[in-house]
Amino acid sequence: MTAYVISVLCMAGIYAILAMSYDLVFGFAGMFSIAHGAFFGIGAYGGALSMLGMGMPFLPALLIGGALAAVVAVLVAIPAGRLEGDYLVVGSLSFAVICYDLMINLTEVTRGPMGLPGIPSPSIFGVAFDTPLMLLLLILCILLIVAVVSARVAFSPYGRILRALKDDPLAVEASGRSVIRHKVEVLVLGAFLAGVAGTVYAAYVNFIDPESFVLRTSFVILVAAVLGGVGTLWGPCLGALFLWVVPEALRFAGIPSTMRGPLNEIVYGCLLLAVVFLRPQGLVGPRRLKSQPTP
Amino acid sequence: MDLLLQLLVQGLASGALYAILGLSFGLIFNTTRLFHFAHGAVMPLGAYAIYLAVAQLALPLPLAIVLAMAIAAAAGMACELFLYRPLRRRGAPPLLWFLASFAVLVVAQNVLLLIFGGISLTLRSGAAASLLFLGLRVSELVIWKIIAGASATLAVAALLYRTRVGKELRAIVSNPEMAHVAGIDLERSYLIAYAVGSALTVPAGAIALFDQGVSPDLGEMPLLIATVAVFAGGIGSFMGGALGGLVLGLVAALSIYWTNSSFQMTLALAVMTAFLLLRPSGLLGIKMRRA
Repeated sequence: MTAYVISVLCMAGIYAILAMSYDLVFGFAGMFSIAHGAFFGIGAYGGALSMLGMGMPFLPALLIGGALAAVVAVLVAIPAGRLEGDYLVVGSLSFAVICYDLMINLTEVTRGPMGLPGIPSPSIFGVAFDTPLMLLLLILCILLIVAVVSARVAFSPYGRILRALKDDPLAVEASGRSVIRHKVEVLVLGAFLAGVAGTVYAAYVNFIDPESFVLRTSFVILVAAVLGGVGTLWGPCLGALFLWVVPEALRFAGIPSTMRGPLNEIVYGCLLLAVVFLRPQGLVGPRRLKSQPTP
Repeated sequence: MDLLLQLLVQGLASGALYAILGLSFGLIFNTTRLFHFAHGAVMPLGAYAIYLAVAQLALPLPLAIVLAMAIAAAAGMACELFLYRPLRRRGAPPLLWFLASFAVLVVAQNVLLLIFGGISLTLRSGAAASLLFLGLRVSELVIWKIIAGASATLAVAALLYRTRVGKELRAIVSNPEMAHVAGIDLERSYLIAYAVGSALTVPAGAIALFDQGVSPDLGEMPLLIATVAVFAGGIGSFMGGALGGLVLGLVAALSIYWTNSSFQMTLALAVMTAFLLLRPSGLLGIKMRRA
């Protein structure tokens, strides 16, 4: 029972890292990208392959996973930094699908749908994190570091520029800051953190396959961020916890296991609809989203 | 040479199919400027309706298709009436429309999954018949795709350029405020766009029933194809969606000439997205409007 509760919390922790890093991109800089799950996957494959193929220890693998996601983010963000609104949605959508296709089809590297088994559990300086409790501890530590980094970025003068990117890009340009440069920077930072989360995930479950990094993954991250309240950093963490704990209640409601997956997703969708209609600023969001006149 | 011709015919067929998708998504997107993700659930809904009508009620296929079109149109109109219209009236920012639409897609897909299960259902019995076309032996489906694509394009063109409704839709695309001032009922036109756009997914769904079969996630890839087709074709142009779809199908098929088939969609999407980055106004884009 305890092991079970811990495993739910571990996944919630990993998704909290994802949701928080996504909040930087979406909540602060206002870039509605649906490719965060893809960066998560790139990080997972990068970290896992460096551990399996090169025998890297966990910490360097963590950095490699993050760095690989960041490098890919640089490559796509420089052309995509010009995109906004609907164009960004389409661009990130097709980027996510292309990443998934590559994970499935580049069988020489990723073993395709068979996935990568036998990823070693994390171990740092000889300390093996192989019990559920130790893993949870590790995940929480990493979450804490990510939270500190994100907060330092978000609640600094630099963070104000990021907010301005969303609220008034023209004013950013007028005050001599490059909109595209800041967009690329925040996208790369978000991708790096998502890549770190990917490596943590790979080391936690010991097995990855492309099915963990589908469009749904981006969707769950998005729901976690919106549910908690974008632009607050801790709201998305809370949202991630909520998303992992609430559907688990279904497990105890006597619902057959085959129906649980679809029902989980229906719960996610309904939660999102409820947020949209009842509380657009999310659970902890302080301010109401500004209403705009319809075109 | 023979291979190239074969690929060209295949590309023409899938391009015709994608053109239907581009037209259907484009009708909705260009008119309402709303990213209708839930569209991805309408296509499997229509396909399941055909399946039930044919396999359970033993209706003839054409009747089943008409029935499915009505159901799909009703589903599209329901999205507008119960989802987007209330949000629009509250003056909710576009972000919330996205989220609501995304949520409906996920809920609808999973409801279909609970009802029909994840196994793809098909109406095909045995291998599709093949026949000679332009001196090539091609499957019957190729012909059906081309017929469906061409007739859908002609039907939409007739609607847009020969009827009053079509004229109103074009007016809304070029300038919603002016159209409103001129007395066009925007909400009524939106409803029509949802109805026609949703009904147009049915031919594509019917072909899928005889091709790879229908499963709840049937609409996902077509949705992506449709959006890329519409954006590459040019926002603000209804026919651009058809052209974008056709080009996408041809690029995907011809890419087999250079690489293996598992990469064809990846490559085609990458090419089209790159094109979008270089020329955001698309193939036929009249002007670029700020999102």
